Amino acid sequence: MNNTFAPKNLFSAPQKRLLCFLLFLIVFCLLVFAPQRADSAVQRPPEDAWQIAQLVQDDPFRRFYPGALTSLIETINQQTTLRFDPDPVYINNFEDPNLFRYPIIYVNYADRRDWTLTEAEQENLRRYIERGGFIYIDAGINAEFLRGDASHGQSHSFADWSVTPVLEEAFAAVYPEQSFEPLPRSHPIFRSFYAGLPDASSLPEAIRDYVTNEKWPQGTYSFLGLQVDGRVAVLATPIIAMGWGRNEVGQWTNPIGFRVREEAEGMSSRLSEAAFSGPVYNVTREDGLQDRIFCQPDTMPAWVEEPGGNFRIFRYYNSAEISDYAHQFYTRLGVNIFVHAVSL
Amino acid sequence: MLRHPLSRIVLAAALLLGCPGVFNQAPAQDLNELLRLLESGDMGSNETESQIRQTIERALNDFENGTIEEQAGALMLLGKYNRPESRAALHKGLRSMHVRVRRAALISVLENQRSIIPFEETRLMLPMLGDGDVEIRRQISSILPQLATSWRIGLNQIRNRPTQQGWPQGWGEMVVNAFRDEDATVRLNMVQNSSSVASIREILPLLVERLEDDDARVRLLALRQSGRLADSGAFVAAVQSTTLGENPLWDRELARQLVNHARHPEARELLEALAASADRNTQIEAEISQLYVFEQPLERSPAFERMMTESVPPEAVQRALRTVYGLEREEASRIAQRLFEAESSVVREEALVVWDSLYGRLPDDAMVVRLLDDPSAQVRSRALRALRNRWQEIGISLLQEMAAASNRETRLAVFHFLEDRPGDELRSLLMPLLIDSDTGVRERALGALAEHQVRGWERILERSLRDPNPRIQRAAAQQLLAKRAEHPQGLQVLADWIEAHPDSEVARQFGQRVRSALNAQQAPERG
Repeated sequence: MNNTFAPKNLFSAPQKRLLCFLLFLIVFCLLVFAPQRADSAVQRPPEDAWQIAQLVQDDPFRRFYPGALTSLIETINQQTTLRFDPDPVYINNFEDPNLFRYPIIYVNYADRRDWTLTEAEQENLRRYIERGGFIYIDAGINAEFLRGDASHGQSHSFADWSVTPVLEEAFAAVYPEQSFEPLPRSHPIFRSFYAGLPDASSLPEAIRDYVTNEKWPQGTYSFLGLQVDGRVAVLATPIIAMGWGRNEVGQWTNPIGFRVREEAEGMSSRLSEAAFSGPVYNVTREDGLQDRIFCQPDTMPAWVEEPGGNFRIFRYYNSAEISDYAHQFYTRLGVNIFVHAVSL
Repeated sequence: MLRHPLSRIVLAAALLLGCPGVFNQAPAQDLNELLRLLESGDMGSNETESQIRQTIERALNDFENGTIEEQAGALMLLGKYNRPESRAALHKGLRSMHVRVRRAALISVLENQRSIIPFEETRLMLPMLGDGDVEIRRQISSILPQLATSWRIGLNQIRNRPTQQGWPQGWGEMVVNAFRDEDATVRLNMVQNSSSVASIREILPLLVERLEDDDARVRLLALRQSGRLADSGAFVAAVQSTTLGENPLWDRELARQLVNHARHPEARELLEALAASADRNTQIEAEISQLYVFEQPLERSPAFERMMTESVPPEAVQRALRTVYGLEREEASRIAQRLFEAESSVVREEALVVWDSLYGRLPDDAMVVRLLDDPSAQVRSRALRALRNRWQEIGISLLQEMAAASNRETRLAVFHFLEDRPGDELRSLLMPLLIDSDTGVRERALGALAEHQVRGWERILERSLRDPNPRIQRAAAQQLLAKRAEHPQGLQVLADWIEAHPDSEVARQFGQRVRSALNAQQAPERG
């Protein structure tokens, strides 16, 4: 493999299919037959390692979660036989002519202030996607209560089944006939390397069922994809980079807590009458219906009215085990996304 | 929500006219309260104080008179109201005889914590380390450091004197039991947080005891903690009986911890055995520990050779480079300079950290530019941080070299250091950046040019409107609009350009604003 992702001249459709199949076969064989030790030393990437482009509109030194992507790449390089260059290349817009050298563009939604795509960007993106490029927009799903300030979507990973309207609008200009659609739980992206959830036995009993059956069933999450030529070309997720970063000595860099929905006998009617001091927002559910989220100040969801009128309360659990679990899960999701992106 | 002043006025009018549906429940009671709500900016969803009181009273009633489930539900709801009466109920809930209620109370109490846990709550939570419910013991053992801090601060305030001891009665026995808890997660948390309770006499033997724990995670963590805290005799005696070569993670940790027991002869023997391990990373850790134990000079050690030519885990590099701090300044400087040439970006980054800490000044300009242009993003980022800390040392020649660097980020870094530069310097720095190959750099250069009003900035902005690149046109238009007070003619130039290019992005994005600004500029003054 060389680090040029797409050739300059376009392939015909049968050639593309054959190439995709061969690439998939190579990646599959590498993943299945040559697993690596998780605890092996940091290895220098080979000359032909793939490089990822990271879009940061302004100063790359001021990006959100600065160590997250490099940390995830390190994990991919350790856990799989894929080889990515640990240093992403920073681009500041989609006009960059070097775009075509990179198979994946990673963007944290908040690292681009203005999502108005210029005409040159729209044209470039169409060409990039048609040549097989993959764009991953982290924090591209922000529930309504997080949209007031892009930084809110950096610390709350809330499963909403609709993409941030700004992105919908931006990509409507690129592909007017397409829109972001939820990926089904059965989508192969959720099983491209890791399948299922990490062992949940360390989680508190009170939340284990909720996490494994409602929050992240079978290791899935709310992913929305823009499908082009039968594949997910642009992927948007709630923020998951917050779970990737390790510091220089291998410890997770920021603690993560769980927000879970809980109920108790008689609580639903009490919540329906309860006073609250923040705003109310609607959030799209997986089934397309809406939840009404009642917030406390500081955008902390306090409770939710679900379709049918049932209320549940949001509870916030924090502990070392929970944080470790969340990091493991988000890292596995990240690995799955990148493996999927280059396996197609 | 409701940030726009007009929406507040509309709502205020609706409230005063008694329009239904504007508020979730009852409207504000009087004009003063309305004004307070307007002031707070979130009145559309605010409830009146009386409604909050009603909700709390109902929940308190459920807690006092309800079933166990209703009590738990009431505490969950009370956790959402950080009021004295709610907290009093939560505190009572912590002492409930029902597990379901205690769990609900504990999570509600912790949900509201922002920084230091109040002493009153710590007093109630510490004994829960001995709770019959394993979930509660897990939770308490995981927040032991916060509880210990709160306890110490609280005691100091009460007694008005520093204290090292003074744990609650029976606490020692509870801690011992927690180290031997049937649940591995509790034991793991206790070992992890052992330094929080290190003043308890039995802790060190307990840590050594955990080296033989049934759970591998607990054993490994106990190795790390006891290696730091236990005395050499007990530690070496305990680890000597373990078999080397079975678990590389154990061997590597042991190699690291033996540094703390260098005077013990058996520790030295163990270290030599680990240096001959089949596992490469165990060898590295042992070689680095030997630097300390046998006081080997870093530059002539196998560890140094590895760092120059191989990838070495970051933690190991840090450990190795700590030895540099004890050297003579000249020798340390030579080593750091050599390490800037290392193959591994981790080593180069750490060498820069060492340099920065040792000297408190920047390496020479050529080296700074080289580090800022490093292929590794981490090294570049670290170099920029060092530069920011020493911004007063940055001369014009360094900035010029940065502006000519091949890496885009290095060129972008120049914009961080333009403050307080004389006009001529600014001009000499910005001119090459205005014709940079990267659009983003050019956009920033245009912004800096206008911000610092560098000689000729007006004409450069006007001419940039004719640039074939739409992003540059846009940046120029943005600056001309923003600086219309300082350069009023620029606005007219922009307006003319927009008129001549009605289909351009600039016209679409700025046309309306330019027309408004022009009208305002041309409107007669009114007295």
